[in-house]
Amino acid sequence: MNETVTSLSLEDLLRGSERRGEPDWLRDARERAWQIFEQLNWPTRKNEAWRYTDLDPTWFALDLEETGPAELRQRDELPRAVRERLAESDAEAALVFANGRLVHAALPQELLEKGVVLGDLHAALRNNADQVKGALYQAVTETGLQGPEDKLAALNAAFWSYGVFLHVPAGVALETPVGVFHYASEGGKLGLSRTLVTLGANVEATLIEEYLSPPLERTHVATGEFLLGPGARLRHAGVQTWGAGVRHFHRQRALLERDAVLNDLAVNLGGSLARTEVASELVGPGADSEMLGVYFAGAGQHLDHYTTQHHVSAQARSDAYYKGAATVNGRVVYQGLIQLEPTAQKTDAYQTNRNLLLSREARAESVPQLEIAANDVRCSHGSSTAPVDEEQLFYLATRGIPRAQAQQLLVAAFLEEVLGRVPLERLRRHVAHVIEARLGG
Amino acid sequence: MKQTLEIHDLWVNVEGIPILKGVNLTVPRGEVHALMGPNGAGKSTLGKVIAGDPGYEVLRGQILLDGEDIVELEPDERARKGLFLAFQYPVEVPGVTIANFLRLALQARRGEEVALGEFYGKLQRAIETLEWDEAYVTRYLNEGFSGGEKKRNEILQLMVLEPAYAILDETDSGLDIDALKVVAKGVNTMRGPNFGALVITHYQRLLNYIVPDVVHVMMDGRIVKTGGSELALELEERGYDWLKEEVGA
Amino acid sequence: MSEAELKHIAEDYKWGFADDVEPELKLKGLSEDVVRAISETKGEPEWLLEFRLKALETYFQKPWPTWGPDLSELRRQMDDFYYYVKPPVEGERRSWDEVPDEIRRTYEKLGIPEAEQKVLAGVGAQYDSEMVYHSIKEELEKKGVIFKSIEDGIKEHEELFRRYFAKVVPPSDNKFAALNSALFSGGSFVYVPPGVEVEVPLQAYFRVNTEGFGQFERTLIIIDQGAKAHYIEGCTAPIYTTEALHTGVIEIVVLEGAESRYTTIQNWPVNMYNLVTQRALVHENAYHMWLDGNLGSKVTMKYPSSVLKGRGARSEILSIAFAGDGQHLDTGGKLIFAAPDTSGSIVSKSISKGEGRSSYRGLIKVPQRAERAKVNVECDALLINEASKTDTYPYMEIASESASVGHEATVSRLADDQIFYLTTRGIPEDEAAALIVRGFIEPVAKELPLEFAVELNRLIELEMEGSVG
Repeated sequence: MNETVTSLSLEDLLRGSERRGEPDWLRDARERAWQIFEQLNWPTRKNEAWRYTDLDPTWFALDLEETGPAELRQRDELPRAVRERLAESDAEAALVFANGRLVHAALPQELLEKGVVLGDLHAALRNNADQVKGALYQAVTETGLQGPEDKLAALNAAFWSYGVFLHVPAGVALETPVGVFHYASEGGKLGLSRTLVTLGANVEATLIEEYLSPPLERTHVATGEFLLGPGARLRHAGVQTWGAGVRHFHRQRALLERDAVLNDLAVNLGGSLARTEVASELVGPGADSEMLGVYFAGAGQHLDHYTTQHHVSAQARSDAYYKGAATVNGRVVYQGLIQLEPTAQKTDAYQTNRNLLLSREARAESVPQLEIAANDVRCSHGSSTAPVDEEQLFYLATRGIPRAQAQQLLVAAFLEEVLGRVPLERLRRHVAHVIEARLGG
Repeated sequence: MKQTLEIHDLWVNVEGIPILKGVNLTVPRGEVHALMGPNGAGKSTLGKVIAGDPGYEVLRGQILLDGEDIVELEPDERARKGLFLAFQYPVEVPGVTIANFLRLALQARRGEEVALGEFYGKLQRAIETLEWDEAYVTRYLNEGFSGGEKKRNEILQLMVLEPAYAILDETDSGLDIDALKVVAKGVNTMRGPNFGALVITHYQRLLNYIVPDVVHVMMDGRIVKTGGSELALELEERGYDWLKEEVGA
Repeated sequence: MSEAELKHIAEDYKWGFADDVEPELKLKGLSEDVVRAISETKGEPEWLLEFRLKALETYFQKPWPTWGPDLSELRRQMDDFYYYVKPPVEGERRSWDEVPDEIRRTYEKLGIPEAEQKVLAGVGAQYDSEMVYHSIKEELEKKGVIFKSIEDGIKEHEELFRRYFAKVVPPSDNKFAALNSALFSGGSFVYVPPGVEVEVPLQAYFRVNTEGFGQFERTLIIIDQGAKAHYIEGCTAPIYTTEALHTGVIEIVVLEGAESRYTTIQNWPVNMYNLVTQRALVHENAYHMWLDGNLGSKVTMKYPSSVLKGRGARSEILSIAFAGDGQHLDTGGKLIFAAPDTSGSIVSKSISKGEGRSSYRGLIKVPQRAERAKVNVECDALLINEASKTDTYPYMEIASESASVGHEATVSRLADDQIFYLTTRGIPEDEAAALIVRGFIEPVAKELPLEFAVELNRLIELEMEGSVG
């Protein structure tokens, strides 16, 4: 059975593509994705990767959020939530999208001089056509035949309505992070965004993406494609703090060439249901992928995470470390896969998941997996789920700290172990504050 | 108000086995008492029970802090009433910095905000007394600390929190002589009319540096002898066996 | 499998000889008629025939697994197997002298009668579809210990049998449990009365002789309150060019305060599909250990599981897998914590050699009611050669706030520096490799009865010959 999203059709797709003046190759790619989308079934719990998350096709039967030309505003005209984040962000260069439309762009002159392209993906299709054409759908494909894509990826590939393009030419190092803020205030919408990052050889860049909204009913499907050239270093943070009621699906894949380094952080705190998939393809020797994750599920929240460390090349390294907690009736899921091809000799790959359960109705599911087809490797993984340590609680209590406060302190400390690895001071503080507020509530 | 820590006829079981069998002990403020005894006498159990370790079952008896029975109180409530236990094996708490934790603890004890300036002033003085490195306070609580560093950290907390009564559980174990002197210096700066301490130790060595006003000897879950500081020396010289015979333990 | 490959494998596999025994009855193909014929030959009660037929329906309804090893070849051959082969022995014998010479000699080559004399409390021997020998020491029998073929269990202890049969592993549990439920023949029925301790192991030995045959033994073990027993199963077969199938179902009930242990030393040849369901129901304060050694077979799918049903129940699963060329051993274990204060552990050690692939698959399930449950899983994989493969698929589902669940896994290779170190002390390379492999599995192997440990060591030495360098 192939259920389709009722509000979407091929006609819509073609009309939208034409209205935006997209090139033929993109329209054809969207059409291919549409065909795949039509063929594929929605994932169910029978799919191993979706074993612990129920997906309801009606979530995607919402009005597609349509994009339009940028409506740039000054910083002080932006929604308050975004202004506050901009003021506290590590980022200097920043893009703000509100309900699928670019509303603010701060691009320091210095970046433009260095040949950095940062902007709306639609604009880049016109101004940097060749760069986009060579990169789009390379990491997360539109056909689902080369990679392990599914119906959600096809949905995004066919209908993505707005996106970010960041290109840094070879040899350029960005001193300060780039910030992208996805803001939504309209309910009943299906938002489909695509982030495309291409880094030339020996580039250094940091990209922080934040998702924020007031509480509302909405579905967002985000795709991230990161292409890291030889020796390129990308630090990426995806910080999901949507309001209650939002459903968030995130699929991200990075291709790492020789000596490329990815430091990824996935923070999942908001929304009602969030599924975050982060993958690294280590295709060149010396490549190094670090994937960190922090999550906290409270009342009515279901937070699902899937990491993939796919080693194609020999002599690469990868490490996934996801930590989270669940309270009230919150539910957290972690699944991860380290996959070593026969060509991946001399690999170092690690994977760790740790969960804290803080109340009777909270639940955690953890499935760290290894598929190893090379022998000269160092590989390990670990998982634990446990309550807060009683000995630590007692020690803190003997110093006069009440139990509830001691518990908060220990949960924050538990997550700090992952956050502490990220050298983005202000972002770390922001995440810690959100968690603290959640723990207090 | 009475200014004593008093233990009355305290009986305690651990997993059904009696460990304390009617302990009576009074430590007034202004005095330092030593609690000595052979291994397995129940000294550390007494320390943990006073602090409120949930792993112990108090069958009967009272623990009176300035006249108020605290047996039913949670460990944090006891601490806020002025009790402090320096652990024999301090617990590692990764992710929580010493500075952050101590300020929270001080605020919990006072029930009000403590200004950063005041807090760091206190911390600074304690660090200097203990001849420690300031960098330690930004490290995570006891994580990766050597045995000596952990003990020093316990005394640092003691000095910052300024309790009315402190129980030092084998603080000397695992310390070299220089560390021992520094730890003793920290405790001695606390001495005064508003501070009472019970120093639990197996050896007399620590008592050369923290000279006790009173020495108690515990055997088989009871206090069997109480005397002046000379009793510690006698035990050092003669061991515990003569006492066992004397008290018929 | 080509003749050349076969020859190569046969050189290493000591038990690959075949007997020239003419079976009394051979039933081919998978059908209701075959099921009816099996039931009729055994003279079974009506309820059991109905049970079998319903199970066959379940088998046909259930889809083939979409996960785990490749079963497509097996699937193509399902209609061509002999599903029941009756050896020319009428009823099981209590003395080896009554077993036909040809068959007895086979068991003698396998060392079974000798072991029975020395170290076992009882022996059951299955040849193709039927138990041909079953015997237990007299003093145990006097204490009320029952150790019989499953068929005699049904006939002689129907009430006890029906109380527990298919309650631990119902036919609907999985496709192959359904298949076994439809076709089962042979296997043991064991009952140990309250408080009786069977100090030395009971052993069942499974031998396949017929080519293109499927063996479906079924074992039901009940250890009553405060009793104690250890059951061991071993298995071998000749090597044929065609595939063979072994699908057992083992059900164990460990009542209050009882202790039980189940050891498997699986050494099928590499044309065998070994798809087995083993589960124990562990009651209050009872203990069960699975010791699962998988050395042979082409494909094994086997995850011994314990359901900790009563407060304070405990279980350990120890697993060794050694996968060589042409083998995919998908093994592991499951622990279901269904009561408070339960605890368990899984230790898995796997070795992959040549192009062998070993996979660990495990499930830890801790529902809300399993307060203070504690479990630890440790999986270590050793890879001998460049083309060796290993996988780890641990599933952990935790809904108990006070539970503590830990899982650690490592993958390492046979380290050159370790081999070098040992060779500088004068140990030849092959022996050094065998030594390291033995050290690797030692934490699990030390739980084996001595005779089995010796046999395991011999197999490892054989396997490691010429494997490095």
